[in-house]
Amino acid sequence: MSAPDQQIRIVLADDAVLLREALAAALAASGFEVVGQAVDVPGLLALVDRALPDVAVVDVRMPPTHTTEGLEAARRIRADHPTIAILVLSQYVETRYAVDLIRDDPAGVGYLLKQRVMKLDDLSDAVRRVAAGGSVIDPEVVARLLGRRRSHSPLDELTQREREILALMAEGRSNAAIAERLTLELRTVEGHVRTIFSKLGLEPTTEDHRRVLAVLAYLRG
Amino acid sequence: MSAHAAIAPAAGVQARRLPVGRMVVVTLAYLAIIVGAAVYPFVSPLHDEWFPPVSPLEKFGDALLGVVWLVVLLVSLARQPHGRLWKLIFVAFTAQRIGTLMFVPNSLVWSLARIAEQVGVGVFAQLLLAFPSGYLRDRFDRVVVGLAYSLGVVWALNELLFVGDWRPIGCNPDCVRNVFVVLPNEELYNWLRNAIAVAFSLVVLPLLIAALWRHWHLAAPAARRTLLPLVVGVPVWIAVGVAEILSRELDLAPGVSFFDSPSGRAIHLIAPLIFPIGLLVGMLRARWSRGRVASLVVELGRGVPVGGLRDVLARALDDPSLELAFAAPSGSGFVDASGQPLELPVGDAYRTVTRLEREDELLGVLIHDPAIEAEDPGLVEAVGNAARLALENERLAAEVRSQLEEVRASRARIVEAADVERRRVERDLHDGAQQRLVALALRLQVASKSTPEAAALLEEATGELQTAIGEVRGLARGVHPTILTEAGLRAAVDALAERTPLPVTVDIPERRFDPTVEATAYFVVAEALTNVARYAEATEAEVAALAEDGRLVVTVEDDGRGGADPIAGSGLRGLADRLAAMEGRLTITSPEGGGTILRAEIPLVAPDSPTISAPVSADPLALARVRAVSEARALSRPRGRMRLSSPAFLIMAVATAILIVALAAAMPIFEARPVSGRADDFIRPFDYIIPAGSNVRLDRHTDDLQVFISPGNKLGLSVWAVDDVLVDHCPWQPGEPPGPVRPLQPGVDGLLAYLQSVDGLHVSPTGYMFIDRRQAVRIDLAVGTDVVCPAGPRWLYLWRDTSPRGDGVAMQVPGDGWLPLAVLDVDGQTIVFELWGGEDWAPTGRELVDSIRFLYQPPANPSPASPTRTP
Repeated sequence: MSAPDQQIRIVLADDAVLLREALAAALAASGFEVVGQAVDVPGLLALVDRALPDVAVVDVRMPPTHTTEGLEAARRIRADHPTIAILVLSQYVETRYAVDLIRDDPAGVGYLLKQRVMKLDDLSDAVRRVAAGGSVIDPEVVARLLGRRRSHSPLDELTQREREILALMAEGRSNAAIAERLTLELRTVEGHVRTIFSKLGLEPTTEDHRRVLAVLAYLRG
Repeated sequence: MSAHAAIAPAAGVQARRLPVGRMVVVTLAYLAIIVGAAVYPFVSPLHDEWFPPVSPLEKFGDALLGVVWLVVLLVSLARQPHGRLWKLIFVAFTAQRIGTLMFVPNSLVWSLARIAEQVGVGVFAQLLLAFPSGYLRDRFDRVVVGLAYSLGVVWALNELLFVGDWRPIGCNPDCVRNVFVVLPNEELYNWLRNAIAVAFSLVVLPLLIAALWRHWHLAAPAARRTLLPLVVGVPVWIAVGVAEILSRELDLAPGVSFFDSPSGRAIHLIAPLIFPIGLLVGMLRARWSRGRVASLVVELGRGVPVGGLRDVLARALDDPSLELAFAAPSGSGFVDASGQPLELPVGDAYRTVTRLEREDELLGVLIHDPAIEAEDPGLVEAVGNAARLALENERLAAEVRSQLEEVRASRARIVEAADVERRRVERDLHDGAQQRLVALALRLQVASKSTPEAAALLEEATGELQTAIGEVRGLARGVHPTILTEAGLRAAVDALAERTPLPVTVDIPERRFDPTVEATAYFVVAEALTNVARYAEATEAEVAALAEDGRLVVTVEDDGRGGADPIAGSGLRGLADRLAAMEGRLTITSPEGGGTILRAEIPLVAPDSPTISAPVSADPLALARVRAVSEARALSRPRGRMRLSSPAFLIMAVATAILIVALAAAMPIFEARPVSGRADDFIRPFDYIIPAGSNVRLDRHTDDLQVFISPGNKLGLSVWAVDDVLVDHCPWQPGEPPGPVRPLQPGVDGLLAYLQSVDGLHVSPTGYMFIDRRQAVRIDLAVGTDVVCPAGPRWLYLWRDTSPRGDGVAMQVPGDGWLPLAVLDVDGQTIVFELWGGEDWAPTGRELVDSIRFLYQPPANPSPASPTRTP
């Protein structure tokens, strides 16, 4: 979708060489410019400082402990370069990571499952959305959160349509994107959103990424 | 000593046959010696008048002593006919009677008997320290006994080598000579005599008591019971003996009067009984422990807890330090009940090893205090007999336990190995296969983009690939979920809960646990939630985990229909096994219609399981662990300090204090006692009166004035006649006055002074001798006014005679018997008279005093030079 003169510059960080290379190739084939690859957090930070990309795609698991180095790196990059968008890739669903990630400033931050990257279109879409300042939460995470059964949850009072819209909101999509997705009128979507918020007892927010935060926080309980 | 028996353990010890024949023989020998020793002095041609007169009380005391020793001898013989103790007792008793041999009219025999008599002390010491086994235990004891023997020998040698003349020390005029005399030297003799006495009192006696205490200190309680009477009584006996001897030796008036009093005499009689009675009571006390075998059998019959056999046996033998060991499975050496190797004590005087066998198969060994065997032979054997069955059980149980332990250890290893393997598989899948597949999918996508005509095919391929990836992920998660390894139990269970189609509350702490623990907990929860979702028809579930008491307790509770079949079927069977292998537990509570609670207990600390890399030895006993053993090891041995509060200790301390005080007090008494007063105060004058009309005859040849006081009795007087002196032959030589060895006894010194003051009586002390431990001064005596050459030198000994026959100052003239001395004051002249009696006449002093009074008239014409005596 991007015009060649708006090529988004990406930095990759993952210690699994096979995947990283394949990812680089796939991103390049999707029209992005991969300006560097890193294998660990210090390398990533140096690379970011030097190349100043638009987006950093970072694996959560990185040496030395292979637990949450990626999140730390994301935080550091956000602190040093607030305009650089970050997309965190995770092997499995860890809803807490997602919330931690977007807690302070959801703009330009995304959390994707690695299995998502196999779908190149979804990956490109996520990259563009965070590069544009939006928030991306992997639908799987959202599905997991929604799927959590709690007794007597107000979620039960939502209609099917409202649930769909809630899910898409949790993924960080804008109203326009939701309307396009569900082939609805924008106004309809906005109405549903208001209903949803009131049913759940949440403050309606205008900004999409803030909305994500609110919804996620709510869903996580 | 082996415990052979083909039948079940006997309920006690078979009664021992009394060695009646031997007892009779020994009794006869004993009585023969006693009677012979008592009778012989009276039939011997030697007549030692200095044998202490035997009063009826003393006769009774002697008899009692003899009887008690006989009883001790027989009891010891009955208990241990083959032992050495009774022989030692026999020898000790015999040694007391050796003195009888001094009545044998043979110089050599007499001399040897003198030596042997002194050795008796050593035998007593040996008996004291060898009790109850009859053997001296270690070097300390042997040294002490050796010292006692050698001092006795040295004492005897001192007398034999340095005493020229026996008569002053207890042999009558016709007695035997000292065949061994080397150097008659009274001073040397006296010095050595004192030195030996001091050495004995200050060194040997305390050492004896110390050795006795040492036995007590190192003995097991059972042995202490036996030793207690001796340990308490012997120091008292020694203290009494020493007190009496010192009192008499040093003439301590209070001591002498006490020991002369009836109570003192009673003590003198009773004290020697302490030793044999102590032996007797000690031996008898051992008998009482036989009842322990019976109670042991009862206790064994009630059942012994595993590993508790050692305690039971220790109680039965009353030896808390007892050790029980089995033959090591490897064939060499021994191990205790817990499988630890045990070394048998070698050369330890205070530990003995008793083997417990059955038909040549060694069941085990007991390591115990040898006193138990010595005091009660056969007790250890009886205990071993009674315990044989339990011993065998214990051994078998130990083997089973060790095998069980090995099985448990291998089970735990298997579980751990499986876990490690699974994690490896997961890691490989994650790092290897999944990566490749995802990368492959990406490349296919890229290819799909760049080759639009193949897009459909590639899309399809990608779809398949994604399915494959999903399956691999599922497989990996089923093998071992990555989130568990990386994020911990809480996160993994959260993920599980989110995937469960009903509301699940998760209450798990955030902390990490051991990987095996986390894996087990996770799989339990996974299986439980699966079952809940599938069968329980529940509306909600709760998963909780709590770490307490070293265990992680995981519970999964639902409100479904209950009635879950515990364990059988479903994946819980494998989980239950896995938990059992970790020494955990899985329980299900599922009442019909009432919900289900699944509870798993997972130990957080691995129970002593060896790591996978540690090889397991094939020795079962080496691995067996018995909880009771740690208690046994904690039992401190009773060789600790003797408590200061124990009564035996106090009594011994007091007795020793008495001893030391007495010895210390004796030292400064070696100082001169001033003699004051008039000679008359010290002398009881005898009045000898010859009745008028008695026959008086003067024997010119011998200058004896013979007086016949009654038909058949002769009383002779020797009077030095002045006019018989040959002027040109003057045998009188005033002797060199000897240096004082000790102050003269009261009475003797006074008399000496008195004699020296008498005019016409020439008195010259020239020597000292010891007669029955009393110092006798030798006086050269001559009568005459010629100071240059007085007439008739005679020499005699003066000392104080306190025997019942004499009641004054006595004197002895060589060649004559003991005679009372007469000192007479006749008209201002005092003359010393020597009296002798005939062969068949031996008057007492009383008789003399009552029957004779003599007045002597000096020569009518005294020489001009004779001075008159001033009264």
